[in-house]
Amino acid sequence: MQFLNPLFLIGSLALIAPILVHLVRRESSRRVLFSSLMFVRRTPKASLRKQRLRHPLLLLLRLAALLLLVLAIARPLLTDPDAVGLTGSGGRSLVLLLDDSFSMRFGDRFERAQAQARAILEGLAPGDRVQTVVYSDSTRLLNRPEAHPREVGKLIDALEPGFSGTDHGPALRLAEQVLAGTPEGSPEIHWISDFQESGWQPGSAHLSIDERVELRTYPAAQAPGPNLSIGRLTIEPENRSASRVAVTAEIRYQHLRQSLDPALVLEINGQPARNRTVHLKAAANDTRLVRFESLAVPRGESTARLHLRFEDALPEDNFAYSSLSPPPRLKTLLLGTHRRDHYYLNRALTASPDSSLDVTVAEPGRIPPAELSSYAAVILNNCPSLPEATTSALIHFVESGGGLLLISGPQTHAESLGGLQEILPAKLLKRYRAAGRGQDQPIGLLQKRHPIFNDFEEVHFSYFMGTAYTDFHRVEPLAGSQVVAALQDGSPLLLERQSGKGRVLLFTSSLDRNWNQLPLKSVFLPFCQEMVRYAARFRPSPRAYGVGDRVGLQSLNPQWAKALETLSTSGRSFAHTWTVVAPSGREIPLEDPVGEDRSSLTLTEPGFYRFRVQETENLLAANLDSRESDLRAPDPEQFLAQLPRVARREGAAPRQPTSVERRHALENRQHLWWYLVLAACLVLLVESLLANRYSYNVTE
Amino acid sequence: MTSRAGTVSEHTPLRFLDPAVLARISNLELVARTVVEGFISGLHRSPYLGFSVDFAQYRQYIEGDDIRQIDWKVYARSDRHYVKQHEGETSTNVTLLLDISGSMAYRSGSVSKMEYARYLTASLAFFAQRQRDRVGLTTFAAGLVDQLPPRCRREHLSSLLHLIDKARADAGTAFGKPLQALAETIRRRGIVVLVSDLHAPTGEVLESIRQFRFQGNDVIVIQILDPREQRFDFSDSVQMVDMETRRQLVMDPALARADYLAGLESHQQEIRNLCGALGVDFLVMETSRPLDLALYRYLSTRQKSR
Repeated sequence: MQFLNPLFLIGSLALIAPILVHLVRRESSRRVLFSSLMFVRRTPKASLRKQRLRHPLLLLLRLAALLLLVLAIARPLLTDPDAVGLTGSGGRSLVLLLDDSFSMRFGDRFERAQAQARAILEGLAPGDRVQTVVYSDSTRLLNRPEAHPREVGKLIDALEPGFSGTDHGPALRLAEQVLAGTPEGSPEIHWISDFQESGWQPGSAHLSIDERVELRTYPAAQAPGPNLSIGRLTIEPENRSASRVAVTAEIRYQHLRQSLDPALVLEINGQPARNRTVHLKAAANDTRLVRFESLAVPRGESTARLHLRFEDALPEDNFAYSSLSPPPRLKTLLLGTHRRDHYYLNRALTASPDSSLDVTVAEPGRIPPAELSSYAAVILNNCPSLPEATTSALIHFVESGGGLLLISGPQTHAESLGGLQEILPAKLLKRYRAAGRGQDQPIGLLQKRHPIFNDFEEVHFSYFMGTAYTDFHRVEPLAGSQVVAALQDGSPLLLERQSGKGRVLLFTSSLDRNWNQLPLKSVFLPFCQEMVRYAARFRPSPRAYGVGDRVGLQSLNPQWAKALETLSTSGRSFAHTWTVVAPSGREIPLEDPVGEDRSSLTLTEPGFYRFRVQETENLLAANLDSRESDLRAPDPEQFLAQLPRVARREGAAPRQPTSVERRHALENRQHLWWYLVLAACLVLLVESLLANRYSYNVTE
Repeated sequence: MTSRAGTVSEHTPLRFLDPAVLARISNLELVARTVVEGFISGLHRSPYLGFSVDFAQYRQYIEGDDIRQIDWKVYARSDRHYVKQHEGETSTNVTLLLDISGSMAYRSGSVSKMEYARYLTASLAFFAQRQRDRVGLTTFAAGLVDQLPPRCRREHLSSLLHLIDKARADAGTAFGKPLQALAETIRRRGIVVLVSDLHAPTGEVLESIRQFRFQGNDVIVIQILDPREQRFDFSDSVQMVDMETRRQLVMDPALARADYLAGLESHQQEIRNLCGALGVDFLVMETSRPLDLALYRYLSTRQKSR
């Protein structure tokens, strides 16, 4: 016999305990007054010790119970695990690949998948080992390789399909990796899924599989039935004040054998606001766009829910959710002496009604320094000298986390910047003026991977590259700064620098047509907006997120960022102050943010999440991945036939399970500890009965 | 057992004599009355209720006799003082010896040996007084504690009961000196009832009994024992403390039990043997048993003494 945890055998020293108790009790004998000791003779000490064994059975039972418990904790093995290998001759290694994405909720797909998994597990022979990979748009291992198939079956039975999308590729890769350590033999992947076509993401194109792996597929989809869903719900402001919105919905439907006229109900804050029917013609796969009459946005936090009234086998995708309230906007202060300098910039920043920037234009001397803290970003556009108080307030503003964008111009001089020079990414030098044609400088370097250019395509970069700069300030970059863009002669055009908790950007040319022609390019508008957003670390919140998205909580409400800041300095628990309630009503525990990491939440259900922070409450809409409603599924065998087979392990020695792993696996199957604990309980029961009986006799 | 008093079974059901019930009665006289009346009501008939006036004998006047009882006619004839005695007046001196040593305080149940001995002594005194016997009481422990000479007056019983009532277990036992001193004061033969647990060396106890017996007294020795003293059924290891000597002994009762019981039995047997040889009644009373047995023994002994 061997033990999994032999060190726990030290616990057998506990057997001394009953004997010690006996000795201690002997020393503290009960004091009894007796009429006369004239007939009592002194009992020798040896006899006293013998006397303890008056109930030897009790003592033996107690010792036996302790011994059994110690042995149970030490986890005994009956057979030498080194003699019988787990993956020895005849032992197979399997991976059960189980799809639990949202589409598996269609009808009884998931129940069928579970039944199929159980059937596979029941067919396993002793010595086979199985691991389960459960996947949707993420993958996870359900059990350890040592787990008994019965336990694996219980784990699978406890699963429920989620609301996430599907990505077959990573799951297949993980299954293959799990089997990578398998020794000789034919590792097997048993794949149970509806094999949704939309689950093959672009990354799956380069998928290949080890030639040794035997891949078996078990389609869980039965004959497809009609499925209607809301593919997209769009809410757009109709005017600049965003007091009225236009609502558009995309209806998708499949396997519709006859025409239908289902009702569409648009609810605002839980009350029906618009109701209309939509005519759907019979089709195997089609979409329909539905526009609702514009409606006024109620004050305060408002929500919209669209319900497509039709009973199909996947009812959850007949709903779409959205926030009706305008998303938080970035408060931006544009400072400059002359309004004409802001003409292009201001228009670029406030071009669309749903712009995420809320821009205020002011002259530097007219803005009270204390007001700066109410803005998230400040733009100094061709500013001459600043009042000293404003300069100090700006430095404090940036140090505290604000974003500053300084744009050069004819009136910008190093001397006029004063103390502001300390936080800039570069020291301003002389102004460069192109003497004539051919002397202007195009962009020579552009960091295309910089976050400012995240949404730009190659064609956009060409517009940048084709823009010439006739005038700009030469600068001397300071330590800690980074050049984002530079001109052909090497002069930096756009620099950034971290200062305190804030960020400062310096554009060494102007953003009007005097020094360059960039305002005439199509990239000017997004470039200006992205610069401001980047400087202020602002990410616009969408009206609705998708299930599976990870949401930074501080981005949901600008006030919450300050609350988070207060929490981190007060040392109070984050989870006690912030409450998140999922659409299903369950409260989601939050973890305290660590260091710079802000707490975030992964959305797992469709509907409205409620966030409560102190006195404020925000709602967040989460929608299903519309691709999950597309139930088209090609024959998996056809796909697998095209899957390239490669020799993964030429010359590589197969990984043998370690001795510890084998011991664990063997012990896990035998479960001897369980029987030992049961035996200890029985012994203790008998001991209790006997002890009670003795005690009763003595009392009598 | 047959006597003039009729046939009395030792198992006569006397519900009033249960010691545990008596312990609830605080008034000792009431206890004694309850016991005795209960006992008498259990008898078939009683020859002791009448008062005989038949002449019995003359005896020489001794100091202390009532001078009114001197037969002046005999004095005229013989010039000597004689007292005329009648049958009904041949009352017996009953001397109750109550052991109040420390060991008498032991109890394992609701009644201690001391309490039981008090009830028993009081009952005997009450009963004897009812029989027109003169009753005296001596309490002793390491020495004589209290002494009340035998008298027949009704008020005497109150004093006697009071003395019994205030008797408390105290210190060690010594049979030798106190009882020897007592024996010297007894001038008239009678019945001596020794109520004790007899936790003293056998020789000392027997010497005292022998002394009373040699004076011509009828002696009843009543040994009071607690049930636990007779069974010694302690369970776990105990540290025993002698109630008289305060000697301590850590012991395993299970192992010591056999020795203890043998010692007790041997002690009792020695006393029983000598009592038998001396014609002394030896009675062992367990504190859980009714008191009537002791009264019955007293009654039969008194019959013999007449």
